[in-house]
Amino acid sequence: MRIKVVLSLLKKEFLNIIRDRKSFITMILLPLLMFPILIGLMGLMISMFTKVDDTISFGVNYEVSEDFKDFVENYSDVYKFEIVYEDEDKLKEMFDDEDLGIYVINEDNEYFIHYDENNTSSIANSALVEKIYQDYKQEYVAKTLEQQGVNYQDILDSFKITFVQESITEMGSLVPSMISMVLTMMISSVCFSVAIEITTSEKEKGTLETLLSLPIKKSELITSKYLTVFILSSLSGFLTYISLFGTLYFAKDTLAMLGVVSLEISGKVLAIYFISIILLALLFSGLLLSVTIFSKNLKEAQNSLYPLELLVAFISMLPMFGITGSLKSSLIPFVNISLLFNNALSTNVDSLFVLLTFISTLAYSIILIFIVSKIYNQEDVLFSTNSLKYLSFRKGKVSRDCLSPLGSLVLGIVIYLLATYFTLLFATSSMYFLLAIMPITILFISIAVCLISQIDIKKSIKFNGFSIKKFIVLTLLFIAIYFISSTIINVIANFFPSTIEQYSQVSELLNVNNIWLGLLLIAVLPAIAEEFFFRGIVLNSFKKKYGIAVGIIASALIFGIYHMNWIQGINAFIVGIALGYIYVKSGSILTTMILHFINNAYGVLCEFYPSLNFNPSGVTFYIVIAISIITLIVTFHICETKFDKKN
Amino acid sequence: MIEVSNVKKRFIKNVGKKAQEIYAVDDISFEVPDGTIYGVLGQNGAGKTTLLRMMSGIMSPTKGTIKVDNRSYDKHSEIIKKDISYLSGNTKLYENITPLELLHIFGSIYEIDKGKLDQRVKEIIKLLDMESFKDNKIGNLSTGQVQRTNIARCFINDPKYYILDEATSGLDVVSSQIIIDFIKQEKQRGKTIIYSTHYMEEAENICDKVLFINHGKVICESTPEKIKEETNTTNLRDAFFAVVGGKNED
Repeated sequence: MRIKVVLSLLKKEFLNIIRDRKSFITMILLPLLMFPILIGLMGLMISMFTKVDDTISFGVNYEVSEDFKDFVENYSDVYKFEIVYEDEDKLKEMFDDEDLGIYVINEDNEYFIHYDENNTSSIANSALVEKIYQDYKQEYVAKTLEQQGVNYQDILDSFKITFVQESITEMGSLVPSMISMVLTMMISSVCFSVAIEITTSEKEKGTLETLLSLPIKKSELITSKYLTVFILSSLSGFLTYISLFGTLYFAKDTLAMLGVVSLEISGKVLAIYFISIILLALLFSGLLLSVTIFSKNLKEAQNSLYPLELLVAFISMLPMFGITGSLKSSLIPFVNISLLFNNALSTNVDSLFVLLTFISTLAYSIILIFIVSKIYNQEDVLFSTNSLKYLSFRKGKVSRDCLSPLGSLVLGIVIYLLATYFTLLFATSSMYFLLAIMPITILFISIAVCLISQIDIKKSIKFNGFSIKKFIVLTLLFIAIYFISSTIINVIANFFPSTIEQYSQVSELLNVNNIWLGLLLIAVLPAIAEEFFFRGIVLNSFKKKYGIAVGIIASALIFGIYHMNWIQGINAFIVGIALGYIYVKSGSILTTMILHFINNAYGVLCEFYPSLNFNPSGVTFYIVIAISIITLIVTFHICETKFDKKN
Repeated sequence: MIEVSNVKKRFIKNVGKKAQEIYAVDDISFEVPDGTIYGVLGQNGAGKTTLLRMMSGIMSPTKGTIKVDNRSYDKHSEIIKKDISYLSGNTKLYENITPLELLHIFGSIYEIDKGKLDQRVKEIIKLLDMESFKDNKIGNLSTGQVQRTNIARCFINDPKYYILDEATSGLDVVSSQIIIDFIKQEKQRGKTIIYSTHYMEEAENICDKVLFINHGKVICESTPEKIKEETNTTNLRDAFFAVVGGKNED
């Protein structure tokens, strides 16, 4: 990569975008002015609601005492009060004509203060009138008590009740979530418009052709595009940041009226916000670029981005619902950053959370850039000759047979890590749910990968070609291997008793109460998912590159490792070899799925009906082994000679 | 010299639910000798644009090879592209950038030294009479001015080859004359121009050699005089129809 060329490209992108008046407004002016205007408007509204007239007049329908008159006259140096005496109907009339904002009705020593909910000055004034009555009441009580020789203040001070406010955040919860939302929305919307401008518009306006005819490497092109989106969106983020904290600092009084009492923004808070903005920009740039690159035109780009924007808006509001960061959520993209904003203002920042968020976001961004560069290299994406090919599931497209061996290994690791993560995430949920996580993860991820890498699932995983004849022979073969394998396991178990212990611990964990759920979760789902992945994907990928034998052994080995304990692992390895062989010979994944199901289902049934357990000893044992070996040889022979080797 | 050998380009088109393979360029081979004006002629959809895009390295062929001065695009894409300038009716320029900035940016992408580049930009602006609008945004320029800017950016790297795809289509007489003059002038300077059009008269006037293509295949390759002689026609348009076997409808 030549840095000079990248810089020239960057200059081109910047000039072209910043000179656009609309972009300039959304990227520079809006972030700078948004907060001052917003807070200013809020302050204006609050002052309207709290502004009290200089002379407050209120009507009463009863004769007031001289005491009260004196009290009202001397109540305040600032405000003057005027009392209007009328009967109730007249007062109401005046109130309706808006000659009077407040009137007080006395009924059996109960004073009703009437005010107009729709009139801001009436609301503000009524609060003061109420205060007068309350204070007068207090004074009246004090006087009465004093006449009886009791000191009012002494009684009042006999004990005290004090609230101690221990808020998690220094600013209350509304402000951080608002900040989180505004920053997220700001950065995402700038990414949105820039990403569209430099990918889709470039296609639509025809400048892409000019660009591609220049001596530029694809990597330089992608780097410059990614940097453009990243720099511009983080710039807007920082402008928002400056505007935001500037406003928070200079508009303290207005904010105090909003209930934001203390405003202690430390260097730590500023630093975490700074980092969060960079992280958000990194992630959004990758995400939006990889989406817009697919789009043929502006409309398509917008249609695919709006749902994404909505989702992000929702996520950015999470702190509002009182969700706080935990180590688990630190790995979920966007959620973690949104929580980080909240975390920044909390009194004790979890540094591990910050670190994990930082690392995981960096990792996601790198993955996204990688995907973007992969996609951008595709000519048909660049020229929109068939732009939606990757996202659509149309039939008949040019397809690949299978993944590369390395690809399938990486896929396996990714699936394993994901499933482990989900299991940790839902560790407290029910057993049934946990059992379902692994097979479902396998299925979803494998199918998704097949679709993305354009593998024709039906053809390459081999869903057709099921034959009853083959099935019967292969079932016999499988049963023979099953007995031989369990013998081997028994022998090994005798040598290493500790493995048995391990195994029984595992099986206890898998104890389920409902037979049907047990069958579904332990037999049906794993049979489908594991066959799909281990035979359909792993075996095929190795087979294509290194031949049938390596394919079977490699898939069996990975299948064994996947079971994560010795005794099950060895058993799975042997069963895996059998299933691999059967898969190759039968040419249909349905055969192995059924056999895998029978194998697992037998285990489940034995748990519920112990009498089914077939544990031969003595002479029967030798007979069973002998029959098994003979069956194995015969069926193996049939397979090798009769079954079409092409399968 | 540009050598095109057995080049194929496949596109996948979705017709209803099924995908269909279409060969926009189907097994084309020819050579462009240095210092000539080489015309690629054909109807709309004949595969001209795809062919020229592949020759300029914007697209890569599905099969076959394209060699420019014995270098292939697979390995020396950046080196080859420095020797080629591509201009088509579709190539647009960035609207918010001025011609002056554009030339400087493109020049630095071609890795021309700063001092040399400044000199060259001055020369080009003088040559193409761009002084009056060199600081206006390209989006505000007239079609003719944009065309001149486009030619200017093709000049910046002083290439050996020009690939012009339908560069005159949709332009008025004056604007297209700018291009035609440019082609003739560059030939005088010993440059090679590969040029596609569907205006047969235009091609007849300036091309040293023409290539007729139809449905992605070469129909004939020869000098305009020879083709007219062989087909017994008086102009290239009639010759084209004689070769393609269609009717001259207009």
